[in-house]
Amino acid sequence: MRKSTKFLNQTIWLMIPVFMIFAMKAYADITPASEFCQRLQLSEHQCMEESKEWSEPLTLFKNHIIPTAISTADDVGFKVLILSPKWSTAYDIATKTIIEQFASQGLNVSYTLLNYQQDKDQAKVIIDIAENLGVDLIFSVGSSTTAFMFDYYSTGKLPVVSVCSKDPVSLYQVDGKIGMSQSNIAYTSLNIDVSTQIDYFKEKFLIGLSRIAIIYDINNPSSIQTQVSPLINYLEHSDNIELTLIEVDLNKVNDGLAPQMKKFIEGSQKPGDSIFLITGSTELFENIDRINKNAMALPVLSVTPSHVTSGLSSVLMAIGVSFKTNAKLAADYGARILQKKAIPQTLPIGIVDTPDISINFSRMPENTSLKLPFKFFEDAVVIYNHKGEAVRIDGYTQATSRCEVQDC
Amino acid sequence: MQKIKQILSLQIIMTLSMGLLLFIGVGESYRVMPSLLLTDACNQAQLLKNSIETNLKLGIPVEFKGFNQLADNLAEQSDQIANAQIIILHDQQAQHHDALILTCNMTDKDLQRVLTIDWQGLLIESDFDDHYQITLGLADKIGQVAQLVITPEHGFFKQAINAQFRSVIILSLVLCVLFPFIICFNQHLKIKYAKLMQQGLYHLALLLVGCLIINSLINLYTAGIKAQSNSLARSLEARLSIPLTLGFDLDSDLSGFDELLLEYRLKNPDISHIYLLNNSKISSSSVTESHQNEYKSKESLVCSSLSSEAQHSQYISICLDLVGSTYQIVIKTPWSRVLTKLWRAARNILVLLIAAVLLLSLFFDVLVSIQNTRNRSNNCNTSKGDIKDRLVKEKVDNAELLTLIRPVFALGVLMEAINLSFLPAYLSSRFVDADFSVSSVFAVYFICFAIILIPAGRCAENYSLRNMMLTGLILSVIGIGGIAFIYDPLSIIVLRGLSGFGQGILLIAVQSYLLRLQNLQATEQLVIGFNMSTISGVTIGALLMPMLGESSVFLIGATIGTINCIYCFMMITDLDPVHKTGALIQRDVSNQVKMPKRYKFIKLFSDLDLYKSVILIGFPTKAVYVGVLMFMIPLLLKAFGFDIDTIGQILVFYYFGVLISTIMISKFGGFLNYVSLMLFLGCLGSGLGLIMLGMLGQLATHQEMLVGKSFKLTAVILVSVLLIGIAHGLIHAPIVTHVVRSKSALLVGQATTAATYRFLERLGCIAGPVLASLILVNHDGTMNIELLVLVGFSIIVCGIIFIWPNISFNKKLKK
Repeated sequence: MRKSTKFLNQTIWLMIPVFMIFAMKAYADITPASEFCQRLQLSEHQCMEESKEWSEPLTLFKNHIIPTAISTADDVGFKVLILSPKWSTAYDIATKTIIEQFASQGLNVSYTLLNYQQDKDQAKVIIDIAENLGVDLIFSVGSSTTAFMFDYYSTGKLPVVSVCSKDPVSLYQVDGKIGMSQSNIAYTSLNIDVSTQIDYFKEKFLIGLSRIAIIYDINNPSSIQTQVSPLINYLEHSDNIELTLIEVDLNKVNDGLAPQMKKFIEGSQKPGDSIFLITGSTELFENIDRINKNAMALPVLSVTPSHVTSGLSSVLMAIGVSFKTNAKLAADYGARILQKKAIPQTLPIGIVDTPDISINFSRMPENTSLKLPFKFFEDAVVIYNHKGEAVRIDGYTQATSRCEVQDC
Repeated sequence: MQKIKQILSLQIIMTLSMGLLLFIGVGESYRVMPSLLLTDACNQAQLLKNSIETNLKLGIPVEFKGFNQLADNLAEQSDQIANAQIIILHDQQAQHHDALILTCNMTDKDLQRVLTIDWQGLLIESDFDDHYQITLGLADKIGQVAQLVITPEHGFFKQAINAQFRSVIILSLVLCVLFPFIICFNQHLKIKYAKLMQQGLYHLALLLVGCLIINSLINLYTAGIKAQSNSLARSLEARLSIPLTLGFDLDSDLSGFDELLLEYRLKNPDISHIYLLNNSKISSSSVTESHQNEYKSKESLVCSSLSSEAQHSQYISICLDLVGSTYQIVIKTPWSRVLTKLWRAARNILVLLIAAVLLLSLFFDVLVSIQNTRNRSNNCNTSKGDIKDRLVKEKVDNAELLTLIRPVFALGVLMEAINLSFLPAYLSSRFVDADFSVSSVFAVYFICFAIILIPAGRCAENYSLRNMMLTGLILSVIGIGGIAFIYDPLSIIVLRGLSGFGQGILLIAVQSYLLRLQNLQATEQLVIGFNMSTISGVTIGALLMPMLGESSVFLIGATIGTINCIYCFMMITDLDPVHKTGALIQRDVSNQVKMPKRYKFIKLFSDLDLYKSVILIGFPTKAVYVGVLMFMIPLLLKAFGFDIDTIGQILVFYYFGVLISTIMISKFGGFLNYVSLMLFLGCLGSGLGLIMLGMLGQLATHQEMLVGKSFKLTAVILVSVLLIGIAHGLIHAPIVTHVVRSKSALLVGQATTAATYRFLERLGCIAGPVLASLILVNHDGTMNIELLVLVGFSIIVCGIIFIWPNISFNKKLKK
């Protein structure tokens, strides 16, 4: 008896560290609430673990979901759910911007952040909980969440605003002719209107522009659908600009890219009549050095501001929509819906009129008289100088880390 | 004691006249200067707004503390701005609720509505209690996120104007106090041309004050434009310095500066040139079309030479270095822009000066006459004169009675003319949704005016003329004063009818009074008085209305009428119906045939000569005056793009024309021997004037006509209007002389004949606008001014038909 008790004790003592090791392993994989505050640069006491009402219906710790509540005011007026498929820097920027915008508009909101880890069943449960707990608004973060919302919840009870999501018209979520969802989902777009894009290139930058070569990843259907196809459709009826498609198979970049680019360069008749444009694909951007080298004296531009980086591995200029600007627009839509100033059914697709511009002067083609418009310079959120060093990031001058206005 | 009274009277008159000049001068500065000051403050606020918005659009949150620092810096550096605050949208309760909110797109008229003249501050330095705020929206890429609230310094609009005008007002007060002493002392000396000297001194003082006012306005406007250019240059400097401080070169790295400079120039239309210089060479520029050929790109332009070189002397130039670089900004504003702003003020002051001189001459004469009458009455009591002295005295008495009666008519017309420039617009605003049209008010006025003429003429033969004048004035006072308080359309029509009756009675009473005094020159006095008063009234009314509002101007008209009543009651002696002078007594008494009244009228209305005068001369003249001058020309000028006050001043040329020719006739009595010739010349001039107006289409291009600013077009209109005025002056007085010389006048009396003629002539006033609409206005509302050529020819033909029998008759006489 004593032996058996002893054995049991020993076993228990042995099991404790093993259990602790497993428990610590599990804890290490989840994201604690306080980390959100760190990531979103909020004070720690604002972030806490959500109540059991949120946690219990979900499979606890399955896929390491931990609902986090963020409250920016004592007196909570509205409850907002921010639903994303994963944690990412882009989504953090969007979340932070939404929190800031609501605070700036004086809205007392408590936020519940949930990452459904691309498990649609969990997402459905989350939406059910949100309905039961009287959530006022859902932000659908990321194109995949918005696609899920479109499929599953476009007749739902709660209003939804999409954020960090690609063009809903190109993705057939909204009829472009109507321009609004007519459902409980209000859409915003990470893409600028193609006419705005062309206007920026031709009317404001290169008046003599007559040729555009768009370089895109043949294996990235989303970028083809949202960036290449609209450009093809728009320029189809244009007499002034000729569009050349440069398809790249990233598995065999060396084979196709250089000859196609060379051929395009040979067709250029005068400076400023041709540009290369690359789509917003991370995998494609990894080949930017190769593209720059092949582009020779022609400027390489992008539709994604994140393609302008420090050093030489960058495009010259990007004209597009940043996550922050898109999130601001989404927050504006959200605020209007919460304040009953608008309904999602009739809100037009949120497209940013004034795109974000990023410039890297070190990528200015040599031996050309190419100059960038002063207005672009003023509007540029990110600027790198001729050495590829940052002089302005997110609107802040890097040398002194202050705003660029006199006496500031 | 009498001397003190005279000095006091002169001081009051001078204070009133100079006060009016200063009022208009200060009013003009309040019209132009606030707009310049607001633009300057807005340029500075816009600079801050742009800086903040640029950063907001770059993603910097509106709560960024650096923005408040920027706002504080602006308030610290600016002389005009006391405080600048950024108010986030949901925190708008932080605004100063007592403050009057201004916006940067407010026009000078909007500002005039919210500003009041600080009279106390114009005399002595005092604290300002005005609170203004300029609010500008601050937006990021999504929408408005905050408001930039700029609080200008206390006395923002008033301080500069008060400081500029204080010395002028004090000097004017000194002149008002001292000049009457000098004038009285001068009177005591009994030197040659004493009266002329007195009047000369008087007008000189007015002219001096007028010049000082214009000088003050030049200083104010120049300072305003310089401040505008400075704030603009600073705004450009702030924007262009950003790439330079980040290590970029404007010329080699960036483009689009021409467009940037153009944008600035278009926002500030006073500016003619903006240059961006690099190493004293033009790098970018934006220049108005009219100055295109001055400099070309890459040409040298040295900042230091801007103030010294002759070619730059016609500009106000600002040169600003971009710190730490070889770049400079040059902004040039032509002096002509200052002069353009000043031109309107100078023109208004000049016209007002003339109006004041005309009116003051009248009052000055009255004062002198009162003084002389008193002196003589003292002399008469102490000495007995012989028959010759008595005749001379009688003649002098008549002249003085004439001087005394002139203000009654002048002020009577002025009180009515004071509303001429804005009455149609005022009535249009009151008659919205009313059952009556605005034209019905004018029709009622002229009908009442016309129908009272004959009864008034009959009354004038038998009743007290002074009482008639008082009746006319009281009716006019009720008519004009009532409009200030009563807004009901029907009541307004009734009041205008009363005014019509009043003016008609006054005209006939004064005309009869003058006829009894002077007979043949009476109508000249009437025409002169009418035109002087109309010029003064229209000018003063048009200038006072924007500052005081319509009701106040109506009340001023009623006050003038009331003063006129008191003056008439106290100063006008009623004349005996048989009070005539010299040979006229004998002629009139011997010639007037006694017959029944009914027969007299039958005789009068069967007088072909009277009909001929009415149909060929009187009716067309009045129809042209009311139909073309008062109705069509303002519409035509408005269509050409002229301002309302400019239209008024062009019309004043008509009255000047009438005045010139009437004074000429009055001065040189010999003209009266050629009445028919003068009437023909009147028709000829009137016709030629109309032909010139009708040929405007050929004289000016379509573009010029649309813009309405071409010198040629303005000159042609002015000459035409002046010519018509001179021509009408040749008709207005001589036609009555012609009529009262007729046989029927001997039978029924001059007053009745003149009144009957006036009545028939007034039918032209009633028919004028209707005929003008029928002949000159197309169905679509456009004007067919070419047809004025035909109207002009018709008037000339009327003149030829009128004079033809007289020429034949004269030939027979010669034979």
